[in-house]
Amino acid sequence: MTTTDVEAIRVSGGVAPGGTRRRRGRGRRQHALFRLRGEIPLAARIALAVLGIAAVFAIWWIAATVWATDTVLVPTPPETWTAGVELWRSGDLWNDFVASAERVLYGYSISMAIGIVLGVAIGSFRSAEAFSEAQIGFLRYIPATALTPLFLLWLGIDEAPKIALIVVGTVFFNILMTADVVRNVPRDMISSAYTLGAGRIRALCRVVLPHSWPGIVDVARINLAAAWLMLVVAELLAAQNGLGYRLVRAQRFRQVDVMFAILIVFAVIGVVSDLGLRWLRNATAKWARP
Amino acid sequence: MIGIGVADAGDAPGAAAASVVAEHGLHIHGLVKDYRVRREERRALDGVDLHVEPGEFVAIVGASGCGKSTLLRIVAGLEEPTSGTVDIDGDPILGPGPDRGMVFQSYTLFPWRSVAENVAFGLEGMSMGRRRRAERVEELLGVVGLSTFAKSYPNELSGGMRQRVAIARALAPTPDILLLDEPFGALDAQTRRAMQDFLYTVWRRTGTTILFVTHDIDEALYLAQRIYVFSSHPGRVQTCIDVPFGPSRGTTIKRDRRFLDLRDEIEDLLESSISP
Repeated sequence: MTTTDVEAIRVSGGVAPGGTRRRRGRGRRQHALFRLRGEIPLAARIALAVLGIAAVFAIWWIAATVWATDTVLVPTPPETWTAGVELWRSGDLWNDFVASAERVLYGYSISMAIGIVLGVAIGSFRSAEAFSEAQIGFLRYIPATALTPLFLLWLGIDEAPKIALIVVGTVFFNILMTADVVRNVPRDMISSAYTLGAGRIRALCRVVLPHSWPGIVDVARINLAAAWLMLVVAELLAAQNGLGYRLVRAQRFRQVDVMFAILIVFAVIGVVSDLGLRWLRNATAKWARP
Repeated sequence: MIGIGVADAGDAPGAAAASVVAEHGLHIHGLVKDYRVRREERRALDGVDLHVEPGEFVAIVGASGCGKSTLLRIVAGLEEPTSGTVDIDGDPILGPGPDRGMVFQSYTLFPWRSVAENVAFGLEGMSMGRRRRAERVEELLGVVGLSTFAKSYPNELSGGMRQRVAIARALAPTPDILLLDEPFGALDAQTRRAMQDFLYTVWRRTGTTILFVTHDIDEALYLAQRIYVFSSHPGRVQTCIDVPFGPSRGTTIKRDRRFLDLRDEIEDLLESSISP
């Protein structure tokens, strides 16, 4: 085919029989809701969010009324709600929440303290990194839950094994992720501090730590989920109170509605603490707001 | 110029006397810097001799890989030379200090500090009253024309403004010499030109000794009194050029015959030194 042929086809393609040119437009228009990584209108966003939530409830409801059998009990949303309210009124929910939250608080505080100290050391000093890299890289691959029997054996069934489990289950993530945050401090920024007369301690306290702070809060936020995971494992195995214990108890009495209510409480705790730590990050490091 | 006698140098030790001490300037002799890159020795700087007189504005031009940034980092005390001597007023350089202010190409302002707090950083390590520190910060913000932005944060500033703050911050502890490592490299052409005039004004006003590294020949010719032209791989001083323009220069010199001739000359030198 010669070029003139091609041109002829191009021209004739645009001209409808009868001589008037049919305008087809160029390119292909994309649907507003389905553009790869594209923005969508706010109204559509809200509508879709509501729709998504409604869909979850619908599936849940259908599962509870249609699919559930005598052996596979599924409570409806209202039944779950009633069970939750009852658990709250009896005071059990609050007591269990306090018991669990206390364990997480102690365990995770210890874990964060270790994580920040070692993480900052490893992220700042190549010598500290060289000294500890191999052990941490090895130990982190032991599933923390596998240590439960050992901890129960060593530490009894009191608070100690639960707190220890939370520490062990989160501390390696906290160390390594904090070290990464610290490594992200631009070298030239530290060099600037030096050329302005700062020594290593001042550079660490006034440059490395402030620069790392929002990142460290993010690390705390992300790994908090793992702390709750370890807590539940510990409480499922041996506990006299706590949300995990309440879950096992409900199982024994086949109170599926109570179990559902507790699961939702876990989710609520997660969402609230996540929002809280996000708030903390934004309130204490306005400069790092996304 | 900062014409201050020898006697002053002795009686006030420490950084506070910084502007006074600039007696003999910066001297570099036989500077060699080797790097180890994957078991292979690479020579970044090979026997560099260089000096900067007090109050002088000296530029180093060279293609990337000529070790000009390394040289600046060695003068700043951020890196150690493999061999050779670097001293200021006869004192060898052991490590970084506020007597050698440095401005980097990347933005290095502390984003959690306001503009005024950034400028104050170098003053915080000194025995200086709160009020005197505030006055000094105010004075410097006046020099760089950012007084109204004292309370702003770096992320609210344009690139040019950030570098102006960085220059003010480096000048705050009254350094003997200001080291500038391609400070305008990340700026667009218009801002860059404005910043060149700005830096020139700052130099004229403060009389600070400046060692300025750039790959932009026009920039070097426009600003500096002397230019060291570096060759690459390894970095060596190819030649040193005296810029024939006096201190009161305007943009008109960029059309001057001598300016254009020198530019061509330096360009040829750089081209001949680059192995393709």
